Amino acid sequence: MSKPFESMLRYAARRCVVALPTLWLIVTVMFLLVQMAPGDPATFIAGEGDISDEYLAQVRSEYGLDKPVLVQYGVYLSKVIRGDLGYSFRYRAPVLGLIAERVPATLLLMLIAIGLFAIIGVLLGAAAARRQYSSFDLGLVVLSVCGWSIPIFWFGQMLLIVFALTLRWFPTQGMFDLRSPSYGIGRFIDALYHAVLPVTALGMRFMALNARMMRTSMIEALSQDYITTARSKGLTEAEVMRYHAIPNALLPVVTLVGMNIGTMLAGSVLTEVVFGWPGMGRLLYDGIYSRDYPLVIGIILVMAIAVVVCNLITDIVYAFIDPRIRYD
Amino acid sequence: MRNYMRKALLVVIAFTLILIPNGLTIAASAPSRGGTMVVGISTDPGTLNGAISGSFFDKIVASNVFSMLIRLDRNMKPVPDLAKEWTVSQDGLTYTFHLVSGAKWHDGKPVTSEDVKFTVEDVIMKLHPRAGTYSQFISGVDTPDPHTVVFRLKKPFGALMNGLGYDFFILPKHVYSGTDVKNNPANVKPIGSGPFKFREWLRGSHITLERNPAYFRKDLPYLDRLVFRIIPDASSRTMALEAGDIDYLAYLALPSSAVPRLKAGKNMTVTQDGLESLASILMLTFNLDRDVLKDARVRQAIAHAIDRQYLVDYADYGLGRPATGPISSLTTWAYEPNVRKYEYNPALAERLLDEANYKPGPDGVRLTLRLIADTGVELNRKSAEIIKEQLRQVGIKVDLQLAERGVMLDRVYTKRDYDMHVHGFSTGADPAIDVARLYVSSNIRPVSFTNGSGYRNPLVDELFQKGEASTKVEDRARHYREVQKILVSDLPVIHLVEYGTTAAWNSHFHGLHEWSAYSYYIFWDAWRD
Repeated sequence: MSKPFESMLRYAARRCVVALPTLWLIVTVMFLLVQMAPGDPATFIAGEGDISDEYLAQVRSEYGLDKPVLVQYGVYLSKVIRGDLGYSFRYRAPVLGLIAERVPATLLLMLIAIGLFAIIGVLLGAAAARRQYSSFDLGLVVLSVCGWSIPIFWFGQMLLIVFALTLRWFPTQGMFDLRSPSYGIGRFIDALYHAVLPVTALGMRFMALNARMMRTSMIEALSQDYITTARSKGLTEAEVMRYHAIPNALLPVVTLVGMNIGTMLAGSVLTEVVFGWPGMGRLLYDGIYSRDYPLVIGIILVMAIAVVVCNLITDIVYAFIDPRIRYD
Repeated sequence: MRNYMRKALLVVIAFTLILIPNGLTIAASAPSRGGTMVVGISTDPGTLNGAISGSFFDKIVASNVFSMLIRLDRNMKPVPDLAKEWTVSQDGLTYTFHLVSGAKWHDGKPVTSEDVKFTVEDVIMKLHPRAGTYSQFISGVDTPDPHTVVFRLKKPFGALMNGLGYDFFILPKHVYSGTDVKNNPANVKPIGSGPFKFREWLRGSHITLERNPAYFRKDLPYLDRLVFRIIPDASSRTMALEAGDIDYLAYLALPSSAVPRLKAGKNMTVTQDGLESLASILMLTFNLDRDVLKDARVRQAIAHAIDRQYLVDYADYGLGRPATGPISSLTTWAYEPNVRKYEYNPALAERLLDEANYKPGPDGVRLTLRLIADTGVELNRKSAEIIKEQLRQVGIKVDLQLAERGVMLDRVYTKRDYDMHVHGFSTGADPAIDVARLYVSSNIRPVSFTNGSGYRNPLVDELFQKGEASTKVEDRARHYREVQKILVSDLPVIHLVEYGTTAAWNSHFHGLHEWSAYSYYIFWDAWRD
């Protein structure tokens, strides 16, 4: 095992250990927040109508809601440590299973949005930086300010009105065609077709952010001495870009992508609600509405772990693209 | 040549004449088999076991998988489902039902009276949210033979048939007996005896049901597949209907704001028929624990200061009509129109407030009251805003508290920390089931949708008790008509608007909303042209 690799592993392990108190804090704060939110989950579980006191008492004891808050917290924490996220009030099913069921849909949405739109953003930003103050550059600046500022739920509705309702190019809702269901590879292609609009709604913000960041960072890189040196060595403009400007300009963008995974997760909640996408964000939305404590904390915890892991990956990727970084 | 042309023309005319009437008859009558109907719903059901749930979201799916003994027509009269006929004893204590022959569970086993006995005694009377009410009256179920069911009552229960057609989805005993009913795996993969069989449930996305070819009603259902698509966002749901991605929306899934647009659209059928069971009333509830609101003149002043027609036009998009009392005019058998009226009259309102000694201060304000409403429901939110403005005009300053549903329920029912509360209540299932709960003194308790005003009137308690305990519809109606008069003059609650509950569907579908008060979850006679 090579020495830099070994030190990187040690670094990763250290980061994981540091993440543990963070996760504990998240669980605790979430637990308290949800407890403090007004509203009695028992009434949500029981539903509407002429509900008897006995029935409510039965529901409360069934879900341990009649115990003191501290006891509920202790029970919950000891379960979480053992990898048990508890039992959803609303769905009468284990939280972990419910989340696992929804992860693929959210992952599909996020991966395409991040992968595709981050690359497009970077390319647009780099292109704009080379033609600073051209009309293309100004156009991109305007576009990215709009793209970053427009709320996702509104942009999503606009996409629906134009491309689904008026032009009828794409379906308005969901992940699959249910009238003539397809299976196997056809089902995956069907899902991709249904993903076009939600991915665009979610990715637009991300693209805008990356384009802006890349443009700024590229402009800065292009003014550096090593670019002048590279040009004076007689490298072609394409080579200057490829080997000198872009790699240096990319560094802050990579950090930004990593840091924004959390924002993306928040955005995916809104996107999933607007487009009826059956992902984790929707599950969170339903959970909050019905005061499903275990479900809400479970999802937030999974999201927090995802963010921690993504930050770790960002740091490691950073080392690969920036040879100046050393882990020790 | 001309001759040839004339012949051709004649042929064309002849064909047209033959084809047109045929085309018309096909479109107008004989239901055709096949096709898929996609129903838009706003959230996943909690369970597909209809017998342990009181929630509309759960019943919408369960109603198509399970049968009941009877169903209810648009006047709330019972019609056959699993029971083909029934008799009621003179004293109202024995109900005998004769089951259809040939009904089978989706796994092939026959449906018998034992299934009914098990469902009623072991599930509904123990685990249903309304178990308390039902077990007060039902003492047990006898099964003299596999096709006869006898309900024995402890005392007469006028709402029994309305309850049977509302809550009593019959479960298969062989699947549930001896198990933990609440957590039985069949609750998410139900086995019923109804028109559609369960196929799959992808949470957050859809639930698919398929035609049950062995359904006991021959030739039904017409549709091959019934899909429930879960779409949380209201405007996305409407767009999906307009774009043809879904075919049907009703009640809570259909935002009133979209109804005028859908009515104007092509290929859309919009109706308020077939939703009688959901007859709903928007109410302003007073917290009678507050001294200022104990004064009847203040409550009457507020009633005269609110323009109900304005609420209908601007908060309910003109769909409903002003309400007169606690029972909706759609509940035809029990509705009483001759009650005290509180016409819109701001001058009279001011006079009443003067009498009650609430004189305007230097800023024109006579008194300040808090008004809380669930901000998530457009009707409640808009109505609260309109009421705030209308009360300002008679010198009542309203401190408007628009809160998320859970917060609202907590303040109104659990903590009773509120002055006035605007909310829509469904009142249509039966006065004994969903009207009495809001006014009887035994139901003043910290539970949602109980007697939130804290109103006590022994006469009202007695009348509701009599209405519940009478078996004859005419007797029940008499008690309920009297109680309406009392409640409207006592005014613990102002009944504002009988708001519109609507259904809309793609006009290619027929056979919907024709006979049942619960049409929004009865789809076995729906068909596509």
